[in-house]
Amino acid sequence: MSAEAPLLAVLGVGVSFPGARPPVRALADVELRLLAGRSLGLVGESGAGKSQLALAIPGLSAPGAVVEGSIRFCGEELINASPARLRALRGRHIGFIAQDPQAALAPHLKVGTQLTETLRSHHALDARAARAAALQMLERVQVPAPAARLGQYPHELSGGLRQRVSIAIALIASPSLLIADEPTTALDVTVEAGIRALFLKLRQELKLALVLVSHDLAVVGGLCDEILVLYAGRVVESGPAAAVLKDPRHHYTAALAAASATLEAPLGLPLATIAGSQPAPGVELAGCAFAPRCPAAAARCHAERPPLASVAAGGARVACHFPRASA
Amino acid sequence: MSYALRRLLGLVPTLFIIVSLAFVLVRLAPGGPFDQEQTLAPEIKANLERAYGLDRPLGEQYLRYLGRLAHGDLGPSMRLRDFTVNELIAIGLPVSLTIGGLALALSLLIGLPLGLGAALARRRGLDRLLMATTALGIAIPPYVTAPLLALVFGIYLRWLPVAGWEGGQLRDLVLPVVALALPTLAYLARLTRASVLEVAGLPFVRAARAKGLSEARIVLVHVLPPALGPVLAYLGPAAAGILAGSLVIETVFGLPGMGRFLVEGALNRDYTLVLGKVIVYATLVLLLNLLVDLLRALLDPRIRARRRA
Amino acid sequence: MRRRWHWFERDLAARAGLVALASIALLALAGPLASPWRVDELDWARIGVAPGLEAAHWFGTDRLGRDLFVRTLAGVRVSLAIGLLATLVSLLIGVAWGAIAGYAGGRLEGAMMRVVDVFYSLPYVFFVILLTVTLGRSPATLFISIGAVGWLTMARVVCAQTESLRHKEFIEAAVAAGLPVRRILVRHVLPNLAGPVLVYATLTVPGVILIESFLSFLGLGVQEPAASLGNLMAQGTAEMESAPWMLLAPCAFLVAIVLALGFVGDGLRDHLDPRER
Repeated sequence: MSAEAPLLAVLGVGVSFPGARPPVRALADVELRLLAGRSLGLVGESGAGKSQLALAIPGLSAPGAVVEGSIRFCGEELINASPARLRALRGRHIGFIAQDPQAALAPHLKVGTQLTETLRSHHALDARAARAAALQMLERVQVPAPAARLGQYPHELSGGLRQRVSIAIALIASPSLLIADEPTTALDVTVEAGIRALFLKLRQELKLALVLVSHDLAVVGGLCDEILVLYAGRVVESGPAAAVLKDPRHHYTAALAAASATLEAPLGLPLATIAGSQPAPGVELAGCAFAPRCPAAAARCHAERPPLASVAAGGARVACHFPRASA
Repeated sequence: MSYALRRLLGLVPTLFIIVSLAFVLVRLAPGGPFDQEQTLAPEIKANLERAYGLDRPLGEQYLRYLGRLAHGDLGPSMRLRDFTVNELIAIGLPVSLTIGGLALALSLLIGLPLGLGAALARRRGLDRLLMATTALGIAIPPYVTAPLLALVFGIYLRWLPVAGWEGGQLRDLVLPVVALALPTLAYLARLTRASVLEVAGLPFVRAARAKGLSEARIVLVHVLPPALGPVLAYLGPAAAGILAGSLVIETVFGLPGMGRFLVEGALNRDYTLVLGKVIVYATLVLLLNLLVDLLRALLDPRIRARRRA
Repeated sequence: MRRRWHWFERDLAARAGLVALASIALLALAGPLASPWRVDELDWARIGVAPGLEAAHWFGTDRLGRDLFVRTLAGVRVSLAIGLLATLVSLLIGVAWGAIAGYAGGRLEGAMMRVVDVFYSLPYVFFVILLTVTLGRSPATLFISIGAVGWLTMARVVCAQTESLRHKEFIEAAVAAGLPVRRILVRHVLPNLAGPVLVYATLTVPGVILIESFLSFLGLGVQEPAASLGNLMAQGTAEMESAPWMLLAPCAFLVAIVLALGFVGDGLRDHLDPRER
């Protein structure tokens, strides 16, 4: 592991909703490190806790959530940081892109306002300078006719354009970390490809660190250096993207990879699906949460939760008593 | 602006339907305004009916009424014979508009901030207190609060007059306006709270928070404008409710408003008076609804877009 | 069914509301038996006396020496009876109208719901005043006036509910099996409407009671010498400087009834209404 100080270091983070009925533990004991300019993919089924993690980092967890552990950004502890300090970091140093661009833009505010307000709340900028910066940012995310867009409302834009605008909003104050929660899920396939290309370009141009949330291993594999696989609120596997994709050690990751729709998949063959489902929210299993669905589960898997342990050089780690053999 | 004008013209057919329905409804029953005056000699009664045109066929009366209405003439009152309906309305309308308008303004000025405050203090003491009191405020109609307020502040405490209208002085206005405003105020507060809470849970508010905006800007710029939509939409019904309540309030406090003589007029078959006043009330409600619609379009670009299309 | 009512044990407001309602109804029915006075009996010796134990005028007497305990309870009975009766009528109209519109769908639904919208936008008091010119002051006017507004919300709720039911599998199965429309409506649609209908019927009752007392207060509803909470309050208002008790008793009962019904209705709505509000 690199000795360089990480941009983002998450240690023992858990998110729970003690007020819910039944009380829900959405995330437990998550650990991750992200260096400046690198990218990390959070992968898992819906309900695995990946969005909860994405929200917890900039302190945006839903009211009622209890976040524990340690989240350090540039060495600064964010858990229990003052609201004012978190506000100063959000937008300025940590950008956030939500899943649904339709819903994430305020319907009653012009695109220009939504772009410039981020800048103007963090920097003392006059309207003209903010507008110029907004135009520049729209060009950078390849929005056609950017000057006209500033005066338009979100409902006047197509879905792909809205997501580009959301990206521009998240990046306009040049943050060093961008968190994107399923940024392409709500889009058409062709539009999605364009947005993925844009992410690649922006990462290179802006030296951005990226946390990308997705349920699709293929999407993450194309964009990220490292992958973290979550299942039922816990990390089951993590490591360099290439290694995890090519040689998944956890049976869940393997199943996920098989289920992932890739363009290379031969036509006419049914996509593999994973039988069964995650434990219901609020249900805490003594053993491995994947054991009930796992083809390789033994008695020990049901009784004892496997720890996340290194399995290979290069930083790959897996939480499994009986990991798949290395290929 | 041309849109507003078009909408204003669009009220004319609606008003025409209301006038026609009201005319038919009022004239459906047998009997007339002069039947109950037993002392009237038959020939005098006939003369009176001729003078008011009641001896003509109904269709002709209707057309003549419409003709005069087109010139803004609501005709003479049939029971208060020294007055025309226009004169009676000219006396009553300013009074009713004053207390109705003030009541609506008061409900907005207090109800909106209360609702917003309750939403921000969600589930804490202030919120619970406000919700409990507003539940009470909605359940108690103005004809209960009005006399109770008069009893406490007028009779026991002697702070304010129990009744009367001396040129619309402030002290005469307080109790009627408060009694009239309370249910609307309470309802607006609850509506605002619910609406703000709903908008505050929408993804774009989380997005605004992710931008690092100040809490004040999030509430005032991102949450409040869209949350006001349902609140504004309620203003139409609220105004109609306040007009209905003003009937009672004017009775309780002895105010010379539009409601005066209306109930008596209905019981005495004073056709022209009842028709005239109902038409004015209906016009007021229609105008207010139009105003609310235009305001909502100002707040919501999507409504504007739909209208241009 | 037992599980469905389980919430009721936890909902304090709804339970308190139901207890209060039952007590008021019981008092209204049994109370007059305890009093020596009748509704229209005049006590010449005690005109306008304040509440007290003297001569069993527990709520005092009015300007004619009539006992206000007995009259107020009579008013409660009238209000409750009109509330229940008018709600039943508006329930029948509203359910039939809404179910037919919702089941038919398409243009018929549009037209029928448009009628509901128009009625909604009318300031009903003025409609009532016009109606009074036509029909005079009579129980018929009162019932038509209340009926004209009472069924509207019910029709809307039922229409929306029926529309969503229509696309459920078991209804489509019944249609596919060739059952006649009337049978489908009565056997399959109506039973599934029971929940929301019960909720909105409970919420209609206080609305109806308020309309009745409002009209009676204006002198357009229940007429002297019969007592209703509305006309008792009107008399109380006229006499409040000298005999405030004439105002307070009917006010208190009206507020208590409306609040109690509101609590029960809200509780039912929160737990039985499938449409999440």
